[in-house]
Amino acid sequence: MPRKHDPERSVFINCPYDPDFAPIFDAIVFATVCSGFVPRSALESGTVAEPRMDRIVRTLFESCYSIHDLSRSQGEGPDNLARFNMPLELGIAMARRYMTKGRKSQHDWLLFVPSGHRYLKFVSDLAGFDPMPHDGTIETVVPNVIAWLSSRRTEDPEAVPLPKPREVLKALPAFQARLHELGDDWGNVRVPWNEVWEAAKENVPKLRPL
Amino acid sequence: MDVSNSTGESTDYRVLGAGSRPPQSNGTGGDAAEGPSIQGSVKPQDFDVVIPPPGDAWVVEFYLGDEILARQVVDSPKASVDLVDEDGEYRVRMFIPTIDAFITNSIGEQKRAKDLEEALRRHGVSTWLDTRRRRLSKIELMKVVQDARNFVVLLGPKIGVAEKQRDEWAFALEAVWQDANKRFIPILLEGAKVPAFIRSAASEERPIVPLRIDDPARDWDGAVASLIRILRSEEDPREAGEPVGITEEDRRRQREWLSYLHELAESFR
Repeated sequence: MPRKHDPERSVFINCPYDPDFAPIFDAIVFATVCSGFVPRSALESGTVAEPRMDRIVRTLFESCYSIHDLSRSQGEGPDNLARFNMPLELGIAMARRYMTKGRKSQHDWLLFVPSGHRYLKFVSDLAGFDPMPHDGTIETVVPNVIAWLSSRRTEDPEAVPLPKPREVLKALPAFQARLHELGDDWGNVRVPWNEVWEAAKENVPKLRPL
Repeated sequence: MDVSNSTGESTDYRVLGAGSRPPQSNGTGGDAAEGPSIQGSVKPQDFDVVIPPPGDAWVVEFYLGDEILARQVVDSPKASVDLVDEDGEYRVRMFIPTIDAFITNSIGEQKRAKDLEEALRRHGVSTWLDTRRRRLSKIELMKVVQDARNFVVLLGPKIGVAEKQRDEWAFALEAVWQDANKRFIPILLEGAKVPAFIRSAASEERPIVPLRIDDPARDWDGAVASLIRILRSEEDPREAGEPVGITEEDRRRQREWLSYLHELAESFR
């Protein structure tokens, strides 16, 4: 019997999953685990029986939080097309927020966009929602994620102080190296999501008394 | 004035009064100073709170033995002066905040936050407290946070938080992580506890010492007076009480969390 997810500790990660973005994707996943949350993704279920959109909606609805990145929502490839998966999943998260408004479990999301205000040109409805600009480096994304998640659990007496971003950044290469090893082990198959959790867990910086 | 040492070696320092002469250089080659001086030494990654001698300007000199490592002309008693080692070259980094106290509060403590702001302003402490109806954009809020040196967090016994406060706290936390010259000063009302996010910012370099107001009618004025001295760099915050940090209980909870994650991963095999 699988252990049940705790929605209040679940963070749906809606970020590009391609080789160029992989360092930032991995950093967001690792920072989420270091912050005491479970990163969730449509990648986590290996079953092909469940349609992709069902998996996305189920996983997102099981998460009180989500992190989105629209860095890849720009023209690319020979047809200069943008990828629309991420804006679509952001839209689902926004709808979820309205659905849960006023509840203790109200959905909350963090939106990363490329530095500058280009995003306003392609999704002007977001103007009032105040995304967080980032310069595409893990050094800016990791502190953003940890601080944002930390400030979501301010009322929780069980919340644990978090490792500092510099400790997380220091531990990140070991996590990435472990992912690389797992990638070799699994060959052409995507590394199972529970293995990603384990790899992150093994490398979380331990809290040290001052 | 805070005199800190971000290098790996203990250094001596001297703060020399420059009389009423205005400083003629902002770099390391300041004029020879006159008047009384204060001397001390500061360990690596540590700081001293120094009340500078009378005058309008001072020269801070850092020494290693007889050798002067760096010097800086300072014209504000609330400056933070930090010796840094950049690739073997010593230099002084100075920060003079525009905002002495960025005040933020948990839900239900707005009135006390306003009272606190008024009290601080009466004593010449520059403050920022968001009382606007319009929510600042993240960029605007980041700018205010960058200009602030201290984040005074007024916390009631029930820490209810609005989205506005969450953003303020997240940005303040990032600012404290990035800049050792910035610090949190929690004010705990009626038995409130220091939340985990504030303890996450505690370090040896910048310990976090909460001011406690168990009985507001009795303790408020004393705590505010202590806060003013700390904000004016006239009192070392470590003298105000016991610093907070990571506890054995926190470590136990972290182990529990990692074990939960392991079980979760196992159950999906």
